[in-house]
Amino acid sequence: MSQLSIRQVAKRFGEVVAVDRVDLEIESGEFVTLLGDSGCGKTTLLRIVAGFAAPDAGSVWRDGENVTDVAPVSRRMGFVFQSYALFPTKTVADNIGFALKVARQPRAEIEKRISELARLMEIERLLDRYPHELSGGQQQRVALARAMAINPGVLLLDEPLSALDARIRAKLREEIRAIVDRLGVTALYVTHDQDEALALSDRVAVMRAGRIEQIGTPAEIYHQPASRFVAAFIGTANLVDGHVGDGGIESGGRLWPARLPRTATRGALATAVYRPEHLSLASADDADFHGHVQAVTFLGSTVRLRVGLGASSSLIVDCPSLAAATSLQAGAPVALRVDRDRAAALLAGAAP
Amino acid sequence: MRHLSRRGPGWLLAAIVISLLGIFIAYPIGAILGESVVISGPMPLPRLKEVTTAALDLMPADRRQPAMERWVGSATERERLEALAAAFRLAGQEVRWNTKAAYSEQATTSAKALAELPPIDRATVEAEYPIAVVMLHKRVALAFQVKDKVTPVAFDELRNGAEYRHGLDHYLAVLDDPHLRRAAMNSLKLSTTATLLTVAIAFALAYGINRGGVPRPGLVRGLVLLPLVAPPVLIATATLMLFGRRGLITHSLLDQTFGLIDADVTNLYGFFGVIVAQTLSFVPAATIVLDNVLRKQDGRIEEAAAGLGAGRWTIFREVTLPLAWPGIKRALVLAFILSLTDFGNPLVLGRDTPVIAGILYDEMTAFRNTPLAAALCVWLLMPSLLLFLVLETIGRRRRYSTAEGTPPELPLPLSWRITLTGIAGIVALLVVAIYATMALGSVTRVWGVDWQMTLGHFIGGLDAGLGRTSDADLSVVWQTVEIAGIAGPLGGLLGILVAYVVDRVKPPGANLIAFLALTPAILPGIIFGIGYIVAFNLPFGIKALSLTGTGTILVLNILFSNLFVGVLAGRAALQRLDISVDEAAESLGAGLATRFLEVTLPMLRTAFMLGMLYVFVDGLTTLSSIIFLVSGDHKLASVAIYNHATSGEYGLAAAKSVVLLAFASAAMILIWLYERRSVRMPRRAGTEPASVVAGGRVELLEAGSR
Repeated sequence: MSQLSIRQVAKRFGEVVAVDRVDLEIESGEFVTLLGDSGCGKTTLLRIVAGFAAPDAGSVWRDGENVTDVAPVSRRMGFVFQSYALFPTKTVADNIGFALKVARQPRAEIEKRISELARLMEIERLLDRYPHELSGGQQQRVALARAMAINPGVLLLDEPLSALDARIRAKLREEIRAIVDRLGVTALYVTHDQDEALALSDRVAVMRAGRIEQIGTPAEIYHQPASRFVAAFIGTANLVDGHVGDGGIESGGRLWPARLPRTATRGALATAVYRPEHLSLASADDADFHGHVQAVTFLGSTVRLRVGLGASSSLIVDCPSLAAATSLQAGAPVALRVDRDRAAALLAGAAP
Repeated sequence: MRHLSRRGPGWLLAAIVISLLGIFIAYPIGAILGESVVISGPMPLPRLKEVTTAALDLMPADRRQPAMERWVGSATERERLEALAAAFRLAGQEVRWNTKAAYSEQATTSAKALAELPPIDRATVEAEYPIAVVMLHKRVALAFQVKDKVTPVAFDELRNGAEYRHGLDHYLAVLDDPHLRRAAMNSLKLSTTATLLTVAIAFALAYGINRGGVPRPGLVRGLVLLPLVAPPVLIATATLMLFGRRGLITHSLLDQTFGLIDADVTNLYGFFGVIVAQTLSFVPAATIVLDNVLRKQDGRIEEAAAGLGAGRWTIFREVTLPLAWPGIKRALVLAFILSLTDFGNPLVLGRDTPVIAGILYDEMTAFRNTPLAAALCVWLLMPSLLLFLVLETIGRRRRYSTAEGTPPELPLPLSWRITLTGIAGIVALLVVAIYATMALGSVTRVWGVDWQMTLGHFIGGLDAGLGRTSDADLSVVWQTVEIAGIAGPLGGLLGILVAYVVDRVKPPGANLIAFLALTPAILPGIIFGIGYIVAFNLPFGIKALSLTGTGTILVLNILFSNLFVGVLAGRAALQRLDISVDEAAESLGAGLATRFLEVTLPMLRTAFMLGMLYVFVDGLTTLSSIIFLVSGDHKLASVAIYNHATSGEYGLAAAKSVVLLAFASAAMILIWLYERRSVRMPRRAGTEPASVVAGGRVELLEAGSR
């Protein structure tokens, strides 16, 4: 039995389908991320799980109990809002203690829980302050502490890092994961930032137009994209559309070597997916492609090349930052080889 | 030199703007303060006694006593009687005989009055009598006795019994004069009640509109805000026409048809009626303030509270209400200012309950006692200022702004929805009833008496067969449209020029310019109007510059009291436009004029339109600031409407209101069509022209008070 399960949930706003019959099972202690561009329905889905929005169809289950019509608080889920939604007129301590106060817990109990959470979040010194007197990162911790005050078991987070600047974001990202692990809660996390999703999650659900396009571990999502959309959405990829040929994809009078799915039939529409690291500089004899360097970008640990093949197509190639690659100049002829074990081919219209 | 030629034009513009604002905004306000401490004219009795006693003390003791005896003994009968009356007053006794009767008769009645006093009081009166004789009738002789010992000014004052000095006497009059004191108490009582009612109702409306408490929130908002573009005293007049002694509901329906009440006894005339009319008049403005606050609150905060287990009532008490506090505070102060300085409603509906604003109006129009009126103006600001300061100290450290967001998706309980819908329904119904009454009244021969249809009110009441009254026909309306039509474009243009100076030229003191332009938004109209009289009757003491009784003073007053709309709209537009665009134009060789015309002006077009529209519409409907400025040759429709309403000529008042409203609506629709055709702007609730113009004042007032 999953701890949290979403079954056939659908929601529309007027003509717009926000969530389209989504199914999702989440196990206890799992960290699952809903990843997608704005408008893909990820936040709406999260709000339905929390109980802030009612689904038009489908149901939400918590520990085997249907909670679709249950009030938000009775679902025992903590929610962290994108804007934090801290109470501006209450101190940090009163923000954290709000749920306990509303539940009429004894004063001493509340104090104890507040200081416990403050210690965990390392915000003990901020308890008397008002939210506007805190930095973005501090507000974030308070929001997290407030959500955890009632020991919710499930934590729902709606783009909690999007309002912070990049440096703090990376640091807090790790902290959130550490806190979630320490408390042993189940987390459902919404973001549009793929780095965040890949770094944090046990599983990532890539959403598009109200549907989950693919769900899997970060590695699966990256290396075995289920659709052309996922392949293009996650990381950088060279996508070559064509037809299934012998050991690859035929396109533009050329064969693009790729690992073909077992179901592939010759001539079917398909796309070859080359991540930049699937390509490498090779000697002329075992090269798959010959081309000319168009641009060289130094990225630190790697060097990114844009290699033109003939007039119309080009490939992005990442090479280890070695002398051979760094010394390349625009216009230099290069030979490329495809890593046949990793470069995959996707059949068009394949179900996610 | 290079530097000067670059900055020169901008600074010239700044200098012009500063002088205009200084002359037409700062000077009148300062003039009020100056005027309020001017004491001029005959001395009041206590003051006269003070001066006389001081002079007597200067005489050598041996000559004082015989002189007094001689003066008292030589008094004629008339002088003796007048002195006795004065002695009564000085002793704090009421004068109980008819002082207008023949002297022979007064001799008996006054002696009797004196005899009837208790012995102690009689002694006091008799003690005051000699000094009363001297100060009233022997002052000249006394003055020459002490001429060498006093200054020429003091000598003149004593001789004439009149003075010209500066003092706080007019301010103290409110505390001393029983009539003024009672009016002040009435004012405070009325304003407190009306303010609390107004804000409570407005909060219920704004809450219902923004939290799903009422069906069709857009429609409800529109209806509730409609009275913002109402001709003057429309609400008070309509209240009388519906609920007065000859009211449609009280008289025709409940009294004559059902015989349930006697409309002569049970009607809305009086204190209660004033409260109803004021509440209805100020609810729209307060609603805009609260609507803004509640609409912009991040709904996620209420959701967070719900998610943490708070019930609807707890959320309201712990989250919504505290977060709305800044809005509630502004609404309270706003309603309090409006109510305290409102004379239209009390004068139309509550003549029997004098309030300070009404007395101020009478002092200005009937007695031309500008110094007292000026002091009353300042008094009227005091309680509001005090209220503002007290409210400001509450919740200082907290921050109330939240991220702007969408409203929460939490449904309200059914009982809440029913209550809120009920309140909104009643207010909306009253608003509709008021406008319907106006429309109906404009085509009814004599409201409450003769229900025949007529168009006579539009052509001067000829058909109605009533006696001729002044301004019966519509010519005054055309004159109004002309004056507002001149003020509008000028106001719009000056508004964006001020904005340009403040945000682009940035001369030293730019903040002061912005503050000056905003002041009329915060000051009640009645004060700005009186300021114009005081300031421009004899500007800087130069007779040739006098603007009293001209059309120019009307245009100027309308223009400058509403200038702030164009300024704020212009500044908002300029702050959105990156200054580097202006700098880019400059680096490409554009001079100030080119930059303004080619780069900035197109950005400011909407601000110009808004400023112009606001000045125009307010020029059509405003009453308080211009009522003291109109003259025989230059009249405004709003004043005519007010006069019709106070003399019971409801048909004429309604007819003019209908025409004014038609012009205001036409202007708003024209601008709206123009704006819609030329720019594609994201539409959101509250950007309809009506609520922009109407809400402008309040919304901008908020900005100004921040």
